Amino acid sequence: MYNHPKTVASFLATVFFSTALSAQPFAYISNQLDDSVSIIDTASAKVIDTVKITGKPAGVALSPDGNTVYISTPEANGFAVIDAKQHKLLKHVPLGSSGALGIAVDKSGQRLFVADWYKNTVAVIDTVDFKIKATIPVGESPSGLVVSPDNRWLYVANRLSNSVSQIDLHTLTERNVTKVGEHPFGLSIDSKGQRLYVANVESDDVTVLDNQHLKKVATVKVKTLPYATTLALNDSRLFVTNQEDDSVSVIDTATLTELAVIEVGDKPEGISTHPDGQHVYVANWFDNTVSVIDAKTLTVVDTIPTGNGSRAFGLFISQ
Amino acid sequence: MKKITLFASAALFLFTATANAHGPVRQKTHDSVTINAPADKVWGIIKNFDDMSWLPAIASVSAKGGNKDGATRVLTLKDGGKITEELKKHDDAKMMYSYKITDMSTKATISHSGQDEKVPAFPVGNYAADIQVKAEGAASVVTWKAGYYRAYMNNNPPAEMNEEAANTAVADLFKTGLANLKALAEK
Repeated sequence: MYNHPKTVASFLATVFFSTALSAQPFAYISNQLDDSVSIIDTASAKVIDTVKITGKPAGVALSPDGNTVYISTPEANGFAVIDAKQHKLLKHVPLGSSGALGIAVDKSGQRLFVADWYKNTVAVIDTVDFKIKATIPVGESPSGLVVSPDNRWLYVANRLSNSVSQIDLHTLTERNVTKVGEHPFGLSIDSKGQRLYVANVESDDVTVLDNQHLKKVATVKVKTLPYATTLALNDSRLFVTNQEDDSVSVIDTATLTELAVIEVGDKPEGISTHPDGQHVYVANWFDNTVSVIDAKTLTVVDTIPTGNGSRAFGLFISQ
Repeated sequence: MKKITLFASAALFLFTATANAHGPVRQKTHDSVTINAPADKVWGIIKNFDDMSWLPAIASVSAKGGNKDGATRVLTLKDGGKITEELKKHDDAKMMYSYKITDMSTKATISHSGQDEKVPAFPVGNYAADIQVKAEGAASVVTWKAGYYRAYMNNNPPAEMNEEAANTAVADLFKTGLANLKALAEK
């Protein structure tokens, strides 16, 4: 191939255009005490925009195409819908209760799930008309939500019931419930949908469940006040925020033992893995920052200033 | 025009009503002071969990467990209130310790929304804090941080138990405590 000027020009244009597009993925960090969401460009490790969201934003969920961000807003009794590309608040959907916290989207992007801390239910919401399609009773103070990779099940951590509910996403009913540690809050499922990991705030441990029958596989001790979890390096490592220890525990998922403890910012809460599978993002509530951990070297490689009271509870990075 | 005004005030009213009808959100306060004294000396004043003689609001302390994790102390305030605290972590090398409030006496019983409500000795809920000394050249910086909820956990709190009451109480405690610590250490 020879270098025709026009070809070079269009080649350059293509490079420029794809560079602009490849600024994805983004991390969406809810700042509860600031009433805002910080949008981090993970490529530059910088906040590129901040969207004002009233109602003390807490939980974060993203549509599978990365175009829409859903933020639970307990003080505004519902959730906010943000255009992920335009960085604009599209609408606020009231649910009539101040208990909205845990939030998740199904794999099709068509259904949104919002746990109600006070009503002990999970609302199923259509993402086109934003109408409530069903309200599923679960345990007390439901918090973390996660959908299985095959889109068949929704798992709910019931904080005050010390249990996890398995919701059948065909029938929208509770299929199974199992006891875990004390005050389960955040939870994760592996990419094969075989194992669930549940952080227990009061018993300072992680319960590992087999997805099929919710059978307890192991209980792994971590540090004080484990809050939320995420998997990295092809599910071989589990990262757990220890809120009162200002650290993240790293668990080897083969041996189910704590491999390392990484110091992060003050009061780490939400935690999510970048689609590269290697970088783990941690929202530090007291410090108003996000720590970025390299899962291979187990070191903090970046600390990004965000807003006041960063929580980012949920899967907050576009995939 | 009149219609628009009415609509606007109705909207404002709705917004206010909505904004108040909620469960509590965790609050935080942090304060720090630079002290012209070596960090060792400053840490020496505050490091013992059973010694709160540096904090002006405290009349007396009874404690057990020393500086071991899980140690407890009961602080008697100058106004007679009692606060029980538990030591979560004590790190001599980092010159820091963290603790939480596990129990409090009732300061007053008030009537709110037709119910008796007990206002605690310190108007916070689920309070956890840490204090740390860091060397900065020949001087030192002391940082005190706390995370907590307001004392009233239901919707529509009374003034004695709302976020403002909690934030003011913690900020005042930190300010007077750190100022007194500075005075003691610079003596």
